Amino acid sequence: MSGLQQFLSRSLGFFRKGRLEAEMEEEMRLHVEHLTSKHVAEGLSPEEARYAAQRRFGGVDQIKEQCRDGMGWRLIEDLTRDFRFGARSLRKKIGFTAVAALTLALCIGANTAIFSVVSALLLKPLPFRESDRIVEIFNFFNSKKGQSNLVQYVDYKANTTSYESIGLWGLTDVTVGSAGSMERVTAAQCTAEMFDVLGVKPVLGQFFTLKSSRWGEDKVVVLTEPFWEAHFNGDPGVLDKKLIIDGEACRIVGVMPRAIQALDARVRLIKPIAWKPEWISPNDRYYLTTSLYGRLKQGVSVSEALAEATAVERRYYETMSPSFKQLLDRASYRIGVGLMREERVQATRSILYLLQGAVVLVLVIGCINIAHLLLSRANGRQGELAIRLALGAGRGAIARQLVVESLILTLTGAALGMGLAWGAIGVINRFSARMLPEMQPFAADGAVLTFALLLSVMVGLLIGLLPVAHILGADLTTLIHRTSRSASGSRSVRGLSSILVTSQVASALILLTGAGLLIHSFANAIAVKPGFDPQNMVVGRIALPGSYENGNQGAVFQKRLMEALKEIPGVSDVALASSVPFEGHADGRGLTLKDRPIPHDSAQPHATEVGVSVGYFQALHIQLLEGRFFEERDAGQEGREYIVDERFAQRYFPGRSAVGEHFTFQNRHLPAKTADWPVIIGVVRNVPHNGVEEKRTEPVSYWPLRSTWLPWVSTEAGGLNIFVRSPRPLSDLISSVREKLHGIDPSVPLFHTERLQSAIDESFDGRRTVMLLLVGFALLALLLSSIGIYGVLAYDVSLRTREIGIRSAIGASRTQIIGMVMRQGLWRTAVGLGLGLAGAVLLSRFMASMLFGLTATDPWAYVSVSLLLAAVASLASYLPARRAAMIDPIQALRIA
Amino acid sequence: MGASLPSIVEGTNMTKTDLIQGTLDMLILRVLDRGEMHGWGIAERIGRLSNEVLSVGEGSLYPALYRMQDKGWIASEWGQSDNNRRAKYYRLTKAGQKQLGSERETWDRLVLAVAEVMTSA
Repeated sequence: MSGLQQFLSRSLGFFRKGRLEAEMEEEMRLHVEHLTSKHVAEGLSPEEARYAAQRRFGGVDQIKEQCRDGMGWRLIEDLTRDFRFGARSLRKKIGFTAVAALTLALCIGANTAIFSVVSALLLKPLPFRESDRIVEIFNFFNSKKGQSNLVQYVDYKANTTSYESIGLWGLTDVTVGSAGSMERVTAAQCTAEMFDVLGVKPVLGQFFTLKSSRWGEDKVVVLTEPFWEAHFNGDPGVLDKKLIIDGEACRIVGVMPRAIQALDARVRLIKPIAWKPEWISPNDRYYLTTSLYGRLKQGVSVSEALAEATAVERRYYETMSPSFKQLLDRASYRIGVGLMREERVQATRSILYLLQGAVVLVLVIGCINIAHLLLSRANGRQGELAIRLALGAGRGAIARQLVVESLILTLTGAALGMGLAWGAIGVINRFSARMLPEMQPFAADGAVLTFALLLSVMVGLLIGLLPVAHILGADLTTLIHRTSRSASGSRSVRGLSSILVTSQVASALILLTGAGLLIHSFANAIAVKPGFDPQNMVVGRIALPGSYENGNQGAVFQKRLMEALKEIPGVSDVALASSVPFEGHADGRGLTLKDRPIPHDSAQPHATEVGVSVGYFQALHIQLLEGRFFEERDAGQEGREYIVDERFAQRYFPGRSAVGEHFTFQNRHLPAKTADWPVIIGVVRNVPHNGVEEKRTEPVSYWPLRSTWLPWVSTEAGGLNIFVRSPRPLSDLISSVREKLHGIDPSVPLFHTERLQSAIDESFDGRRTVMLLLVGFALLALLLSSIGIYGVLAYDVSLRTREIGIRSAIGASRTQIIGMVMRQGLWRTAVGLGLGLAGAVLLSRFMASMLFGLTATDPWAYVSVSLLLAAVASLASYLPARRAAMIDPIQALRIA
Repeated sequence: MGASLPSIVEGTNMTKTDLIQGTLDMLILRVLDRGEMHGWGIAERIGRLSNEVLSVGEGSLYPALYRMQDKGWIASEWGQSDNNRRAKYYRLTKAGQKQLGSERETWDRLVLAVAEVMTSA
């Protein structure tokens, strides 16, 4: 019989035990009957024969026991007994069990919830064929990662050999349907090779081909499975039907499987990217708007692909003019190639590691508490254990029983923890839908459950083995001696718990410091003045179709829209802009200042551009510091006027007025005449267009929105933003705006409407969430370690009752006794604080990228959390100390 | 464990002979090689074949049977006994036959070796 078969038959036999027992019984009865009849045949009376047979057969139970041993049931039976015994003894100490199980539930739950995110984002492969061959190619300027674009795609497609296929992929918002039933959805725009790069097969129909990338032949669309189900009920007859997208009828050619959502969960439709050959101009190579993905050929490594890409960029570089080369050098340009799976989580990786590290520390602290509880419990049971040992119980049996007990505890905790994790994952998903919209919801899948189970078993074994090692390390006589009521019974336990408490305090301090740094950063971030007045301001997006580029249609629309919005009762201010403060993602562009040569080794000046309607600054109450605001004449076709912010003025024109100065974004074709250079006409207060969190805050330059640019802004900036200030309720105001808009052009959709204040609040979501999580974990750590200190001291006091009684009998004052016990707790806390501070310094270096407006060695954070921890530790030490001081010497001595 | 200790021949007024450790398994295998049999039958058969010199006690027999079944040498089935009672019948499995072969070989070598020592010493 193979080992597995044997195991199975044993396990099955174990469950069929009742029947097997009965059969064994019957078999032996038959034997006795045979024996009896044999005795009868030998001449005994039936009575005597039966008696003799039974006497000879003797201990039926003993034989049965030996039979069971023969069948290998012993271990299973023993384990069941241990489990029953363990469960019973845990039930008896319900308080201890509840505290321990709850601690474990919190620790295991938090670990599991965070692990579900780590597993989904960092560990699991993407659901695409051989996804470890899919790479992203991107461009670095000033070590800031940018995407790629069409020009680079065409070049790489023709001149590289590393890739099986290479494709472009970008996201855009489109309007689906026509007036009356319009919907704004997110669509991917890609080239046909993307389907090969991802290695996906259509659910229905087919994907579009390279032919669709020809300008004018791109009126096709691939639906995603969710969109197909939601809008067409999964009807297979959908192929070749037309879908109106941005006012154009597109033929539905196929349906994309749901797996595409792993690349971006927002995508509902997929459209081809199309261009005219003359659009491919080398000058546009680094106008980075789209992502470039490739599938590496079998056997080609990422570094080989990177080497090839670097050579391709070098070739391009050599063909360019010296001034452009200088531009690239100043921006320390380089190309990058990285695995898709890793690139998309680059930004969140360190945060995830931080959080996972934090919950592991919480788990360690929690485990120490429970290990200590089990340790003192086992210590209290030394008498019982010693007697069992003396009576012949194997050390193995006792160890097994202690471990089984802690396993029951952890598994109960794990079951509760899974419930908590399940709830927590739901909350995480609500946040991640806003913070990581491209990611799919997280779930407690097989990997996560396995993790939780393994974690609990490991924890159970660890905290169970600690007391075992302690008890079984000692020899029997010592054990029996210890059980006599000697006052200084368990020096080794006290030594061990000192180490445990110290490491708890250290771990808690590390977490608290991390939380403190994040709290201070958050306070700094929200304290930044916005530079404008968000009160009662509502923003919404509209998208103008491309037809508005022709003639003066755009100008007419803009004029009518502004007038119509101002007509709404209760509206005081109206403006249009290409970006919403705190919400933008505008990267800086390189610029050239007139008559100001840049020193060879210094960086190219750069700034963000924001297009605004005339009257924007007045509407948002942005203060003018110098010069003048835009006027109608500035918004003409030839307008070259710019308004810049304080940061721009101070950085590029330090110590003097920026008004009247000239600069241009056309770095390669500088205007010849001074009159052709754009001019700065005003300086305004800083407004954080990209949110206050931006690492290197970009200076901002404002240009007057020209009406012909409105459709371009609508597509490139994800919508044209309208600002309306009114104290009226949001929904009421929105419906008025919608009504006005409908009156002007019913085919223009209004979407993504919100209060400006909520846009500001949302920009802090990421920081707030990470801060709250870390603060939560740190407080949990603080609570657990104060329970730890309290527990150790309280246990210590209970062991030293007699000693303390004697002390007070011979004249120690209550203060002296309180001092004595508290010193026990405080020196351990002090050592823990010291170690923790060292650890916190190490951790904070890792956190540098998450801090805002302070350094990793921010004294405020270190001092305040140390004081907090010291205060809590003092309280946790005072409670047992007070109890020690209240010990009545007579009582104590009598009991002892 | 009990079953592996030398079994003691009990009960009768014949000469008592200890079964050498491990030989019980071999005897059971040998007896079952003739055909399937219940526990009582096995004990009786060993007694009769050895002219009542060897007598297998119940305390050794049943644990041995369960152990051997666990090892897969023998299998059991409930059937009708001669006197029309339900009885558990044991039979040899393939693995049991192989085991019997190897135990027989070992035994032969042992007997020869012991005889050698006893005659020439």
